[in-house]
Amino acid sequence: MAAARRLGKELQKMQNHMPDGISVVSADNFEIWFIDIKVLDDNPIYRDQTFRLKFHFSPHYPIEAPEVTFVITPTTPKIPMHPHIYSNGIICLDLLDRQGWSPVHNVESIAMSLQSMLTGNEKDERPPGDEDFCRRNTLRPRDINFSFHDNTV
Amino acid sequence: MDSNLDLADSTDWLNTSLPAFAALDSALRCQVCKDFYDTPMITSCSHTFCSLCIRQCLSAEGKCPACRASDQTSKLRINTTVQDLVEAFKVARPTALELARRGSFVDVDAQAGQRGGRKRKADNSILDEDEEEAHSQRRKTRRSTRGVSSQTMPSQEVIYVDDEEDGGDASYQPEDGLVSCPICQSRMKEAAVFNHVENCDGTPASSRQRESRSGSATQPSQPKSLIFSRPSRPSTRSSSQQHIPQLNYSMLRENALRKKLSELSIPASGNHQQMARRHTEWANLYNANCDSSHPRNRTELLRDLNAWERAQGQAHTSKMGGVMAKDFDSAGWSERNKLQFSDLIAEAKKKRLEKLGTADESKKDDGEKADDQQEIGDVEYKSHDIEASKDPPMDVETIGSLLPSSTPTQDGSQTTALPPQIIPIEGTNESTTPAGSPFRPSSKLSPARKPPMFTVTERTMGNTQPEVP
Repeated sequence: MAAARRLGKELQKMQNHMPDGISVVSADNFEIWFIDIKVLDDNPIYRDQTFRLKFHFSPHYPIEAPEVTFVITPTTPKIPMHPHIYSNGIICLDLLDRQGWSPVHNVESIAMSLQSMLTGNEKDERPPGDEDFCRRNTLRPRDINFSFHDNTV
Repeated sequence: MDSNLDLADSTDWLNTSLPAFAALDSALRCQVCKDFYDTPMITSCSHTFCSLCIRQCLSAEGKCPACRASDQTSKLRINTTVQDLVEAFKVARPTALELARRGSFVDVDAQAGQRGGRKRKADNSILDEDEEEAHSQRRKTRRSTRGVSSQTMPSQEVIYVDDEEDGGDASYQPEDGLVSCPICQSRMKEAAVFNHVENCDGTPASSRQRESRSGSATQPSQPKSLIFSRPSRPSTRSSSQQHIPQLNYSMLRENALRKKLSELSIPASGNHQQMARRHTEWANLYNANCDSSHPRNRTELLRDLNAWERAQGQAHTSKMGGVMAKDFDSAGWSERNKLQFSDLIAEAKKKRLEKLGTADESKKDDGEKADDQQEIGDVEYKSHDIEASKDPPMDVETIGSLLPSSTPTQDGSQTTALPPQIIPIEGTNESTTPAGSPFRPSSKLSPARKPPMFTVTERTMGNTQPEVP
């Protein structure tokens, strides 16, 4: 399948070279990958912390965007504080949404976008309505209709 | 595709003696599939992708993946230059890569230092400019190899001869003091050209005129035909195979679409949306194959279509009208509405108990309807009623706008025209809602269209979707 071929290539490329602060944790199949990211600069909100990303690919990748969320594991016990990241790990980023996605993006570029999204953040807070959203939301990230208004990210 | 190409990537070059080739390699790859361009097509925004990749992207989104400019498949044009580049590079790549990988070792050897080793290297590859102390002996060999190469490549000389003849033809012009017509090439005085051009019918100069000149007069046409021989290849190709036109699926009834699919002899099962998607995918596959310089046969294309269909998930077993199985998150749906479902059940139980108490009154009004029907109707209304109790007119409006074809003015006339079997359902609502309520038209809908009622309740009860960000 096209998705597997493309993911195979991406994986090979990432094994050869990865940007600083981004590392592949596991990519055993072409459906779910885990990737760790670290903020490189001295941002006090994320200093000395590692965050784990879960990528969920559909068979139509890269035509369809992957589902990307932050997850909690024993080694990465935190979801990063960010005004666009909910405490259940769901990320509000237009890149990951149907309108913002383009097949030209790849796993590495997503990870880098998220990394820079964290790097540029100065607010140690959750999105408004976070608690309520996390309690009630049972939608998959791809089914949520986010409205994107913050162009500074 | 062979497995060799499958694993190949532009990063293969990074640890060789030619790391700059990585950029060249990646420039010849499609940004969507990361493979070498297969039948490269250029968009109207001047981005190039594989034919199939860009067709899939455009049918999914209608935008160029690179710059998000809107585009249409009909505006795609084949990029033959890139195709030739890719074909050439694919052939050259394995040997070049092997050489580049070995090249890094050769460099190390050379630095270690034997002159003999250096010389040998210089002979078969690039010569270092800084080797001032090069021996005359080597110069001789260089000259001799040059001589050999010029002798062994007569084809180049032929090209030169062609060039000279072409140039020679051009140099005729000042000799006779005449100029040639830009359309028909016949020669005349400069002043006469302007009058001639207006009347020129484009037919080549008369044979008499040509014969009067030397034999070289027929020569100039030769290089021209050589130039045009390559682009003629795709044009003959596209005329041999017709593209499948895109359809406006919403304009086609299900049966008409089914007929279209069977005309193309591809599977014609499934509902309207499934068939539309299949048709889109088949058109993508087929049209990309039309563009290709190495078209595959129909069986292979059908196999691809089948593989695509399987990737769609259990599309055929899906019973959700209008929703493909892969798009429908059934676990999420039941989880999401769990509260509501249990509320409804509790409500229904409570209502039933009440009904048992006051059964006599209601049964006078509508005795003929079945008990369970009554419950469903009551409960549905009830859940709205709780929300709407404070401000009923507004709720009626909002719900009315959400329900299809709910025009209260038509109510009276339509109820009389209703087929008899629907009357009991309507009766259910009538018992619980006041006359002229917007629920009446909705009850005319077939039971299959009931689910929207849940979304209505969900919206009025409060949204789980976040507004920010």
